[in-house]
Amino acid sequence: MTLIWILAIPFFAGLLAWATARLNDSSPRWISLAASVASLALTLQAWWARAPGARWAAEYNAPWIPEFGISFRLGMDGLSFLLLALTFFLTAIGVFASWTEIQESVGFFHLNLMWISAAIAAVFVALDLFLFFFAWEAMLIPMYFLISIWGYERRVYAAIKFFIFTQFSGLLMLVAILALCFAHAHATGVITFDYLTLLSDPRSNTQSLWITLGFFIAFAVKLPMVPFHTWLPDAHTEAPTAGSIILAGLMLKTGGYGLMRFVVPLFPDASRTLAPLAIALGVAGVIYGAILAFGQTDLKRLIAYTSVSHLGFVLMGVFAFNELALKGAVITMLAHGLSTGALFFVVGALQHRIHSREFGRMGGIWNVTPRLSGAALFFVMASLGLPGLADFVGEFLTLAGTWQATPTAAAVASLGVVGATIYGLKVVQRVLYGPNVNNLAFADFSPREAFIAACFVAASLWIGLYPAPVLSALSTSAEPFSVITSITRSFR
Amino acid sequence: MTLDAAGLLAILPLLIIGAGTMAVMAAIAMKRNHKAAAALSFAAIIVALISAWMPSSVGTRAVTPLLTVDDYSRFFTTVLLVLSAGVILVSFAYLDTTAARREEYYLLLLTGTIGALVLPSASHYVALFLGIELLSIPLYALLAYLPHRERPLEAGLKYLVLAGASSAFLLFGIALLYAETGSMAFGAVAAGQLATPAMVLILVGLGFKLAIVPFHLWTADVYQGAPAPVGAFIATVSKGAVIAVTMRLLFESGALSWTAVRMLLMIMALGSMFAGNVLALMQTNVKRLLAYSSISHLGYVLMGIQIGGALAVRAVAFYVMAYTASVLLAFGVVSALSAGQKEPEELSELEGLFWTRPWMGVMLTLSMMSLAGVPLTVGFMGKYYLLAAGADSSAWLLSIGLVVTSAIGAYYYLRVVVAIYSSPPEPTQAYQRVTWPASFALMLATAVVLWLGVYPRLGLHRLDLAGSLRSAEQRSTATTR
Repeated sequence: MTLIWILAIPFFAGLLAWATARLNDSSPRWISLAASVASLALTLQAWWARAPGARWAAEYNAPWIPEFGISFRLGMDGLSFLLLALTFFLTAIGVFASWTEIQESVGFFHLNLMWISAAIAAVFVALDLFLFFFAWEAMLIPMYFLISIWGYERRVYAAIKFFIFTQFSGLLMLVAILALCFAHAHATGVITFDYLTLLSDPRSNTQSLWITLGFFIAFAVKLPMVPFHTWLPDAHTEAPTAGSIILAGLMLKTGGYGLMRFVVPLFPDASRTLAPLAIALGVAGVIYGAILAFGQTDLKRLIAYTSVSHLGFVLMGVFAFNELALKGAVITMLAHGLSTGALFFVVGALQHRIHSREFGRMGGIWNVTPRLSGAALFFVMASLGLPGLADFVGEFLTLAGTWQATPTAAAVASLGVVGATIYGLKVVQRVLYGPNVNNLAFADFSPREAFIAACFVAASLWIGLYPAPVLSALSTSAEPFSVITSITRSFR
Repeated sequence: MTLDAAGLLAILPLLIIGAGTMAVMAAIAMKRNHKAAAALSFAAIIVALISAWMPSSVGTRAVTPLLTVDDYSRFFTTVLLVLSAGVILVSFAYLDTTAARREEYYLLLLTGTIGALVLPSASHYVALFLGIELLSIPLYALLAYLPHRERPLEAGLKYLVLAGASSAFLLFGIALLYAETGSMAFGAVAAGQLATPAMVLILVGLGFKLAIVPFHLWTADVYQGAPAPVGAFIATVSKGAVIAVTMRLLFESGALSWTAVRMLLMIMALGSMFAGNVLALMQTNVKRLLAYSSISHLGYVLMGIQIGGALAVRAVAFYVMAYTASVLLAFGVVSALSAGQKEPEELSELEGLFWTRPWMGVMLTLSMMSLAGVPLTVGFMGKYYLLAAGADSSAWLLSIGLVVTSAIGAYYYLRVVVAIYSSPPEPTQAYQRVTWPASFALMLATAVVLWLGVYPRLGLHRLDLAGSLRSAEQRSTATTR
């Protein structure tokens, strides 16, 4: 029942925020903030109150469309818990970050923000394939509105591109889901979309490679995997700050989560067939993303391309098929959510002040705004994998795990870390240091902004210095870890 | 087979609408009153709706050789009656501000509805032809109902020529089939050389009515020219009824298992999906856009028919409901906002709708989302049903066609949404104030779109839709032996 509350609170808070917008502009902000904090608190509470040894820290099951064996089934294990906590943390930050940026139709903005949050949370806890798909698609519409109404110059183009990419891949996944469920129905005579039932009967017929591809492409587009990444720089650049934080911090993670929760456990054999291709594309993403990031002159676009690079590690880690790499992939997802979310926040703050994202309009702001610049330096360092911060742990574990499976891939991918250093230093040099040629002068971080930055710093340091709680939470998660172990065993 | 009391009870909806038509005619003859004519027509439809679901109406009953009343026909009768009621509601305010003489409009609408009601229960080519003509002839007049405008007249004439041509194909096909079997019943088994060409000709005739590729050329002009409520009638009631009869015809005649027919249906389905969606991409007129989108949606329906089988019949039934509810919502919003001589049909005229008329904006958005097949709306459940039927019988080519064209289609539905949410122009558009009958109809359609999109437990599987078709086939084979 807790899970229902966790999803319902942001959903209804969104409606309430919309309804109260006509009273004044600040009530939607407070309502949304309160709702995200409440959901975060409930998530943590459900995790701490879990029964020891139980597979799900919280569960819910109710029939939905019995005609097709579709149920409203939710479950939260370690993997879901971490991503759920990240979801509500970043939503709260997103509300806080748009406190002064969004001044037009505040109510509708928060309605969309809250609904994205609810839909993403539903993706992370859905245990019914139909429900999962439903939530997967439901993320799209509010995000589309967020980009197309409150975005920057080319917002309509970016929003439509984003929508069509994800809609197409989503429908491919729907066909794959239906193919899987009807194959199961023809074999057993029972039609069901229940994840655990389907899991206990892994398909390994000739069709399964095609079905796997349907899932894989949908997740790869969201992740995004090269060559399906072209929607990402546009969407991230044009979205308002809160939109970018949610896109980079959460929506990309749904792709990685899908690979871990569905592709590998449901189709172990087909996944093994796909693994070389997936690892190769993951490595390609790491390198290609870094090169493209270096070439950008638009700060926000640069950060968008670093996402392509970082999530290449996730793809690689999932398909290395060992526990180390997989845990690394999960931590990379969390760390990327924090560091990239924070960078988008800083860029948003900067753009709010100088109305530009171009390097040419920046430079030498260290003396003007020490607090903003300090935060920017910190998050760039986090993003390029400085030891002691979260990204380092994730990337290190991923590379160490991948090394055991395919040393070549790990060796090439580690060049990506060097690439990250190069583009990271470029940002620092062009934006923070050097002479203040443009004679910039503007206000430093307000207390509100400093508080947001402090939250990000604390979270990043925590995972970077003491990742043990995160790793142990993951160990309780049955999928994909038990499946990974069995695949690894059959490898040898 | 004679007509007994039970038979009359079974076709009560048809009789009630017929009586209602005459009552409206008499009322007009006595005293012209727009409100009275509209109310009388609406009441007739509601009574017919109730009579369709009286406790006595269960099971399958052949009423004369022409009509069969069963779960299948009852389902479509219900849907068509609800749609007609919706069209009447949105027409009322529209006519109040546009037409000089308004009462005869309802006469024509009810006559068209009779034709539409004949079709789902038709099990005989005579009934098919009667139904189609009864549906089409009032439409010529309805299309040209605002004679002082330029486009409606053009639309009416185009539709007249087209309907005449398509009836000729239909009749020729029926004649060939009659020459082959000596029977006009759907279930008459045709196995000779003429059977395939006859069925192809019949499909051509029906294809014109449904506006599927390659018989789709008329549709954009007619949709654009039609007064918005009449456009709604064509897009919902007329399309729904013809789909119902096409599906029954193909199932009961067994033509669905002929290779040539299957091939033809496949080509027409894929062609409609692609052509409809691609042609709609560049439209800036919402009514034209809906016309092209209807081509693609009819392609999806054909896909369901082509797949065949119990799940597919259910899928088609659901899809018809989903599509008609969504498109009624779209046309309803356009007609509700029409002020005087001008319908807000260009995208530029809808700019900023959400900010000036939030509820209308939300409704039009929902309708577009539903047509695009986005979850939380009934359009998504419709596509889900079709894909499920496709997965069940491994129709991968058609399923992939649906996926690809849906992605293409998302683009132009989103263009409408973009316009709705862009900042309103200065000075703001002058829209009509929305009256309560229209807003009632719109709210009802919105409720259907949302409710069935989230919680599609309609009990469709309890209605024996496919069983109706199959048992009729078995019955007819039994009689010919």
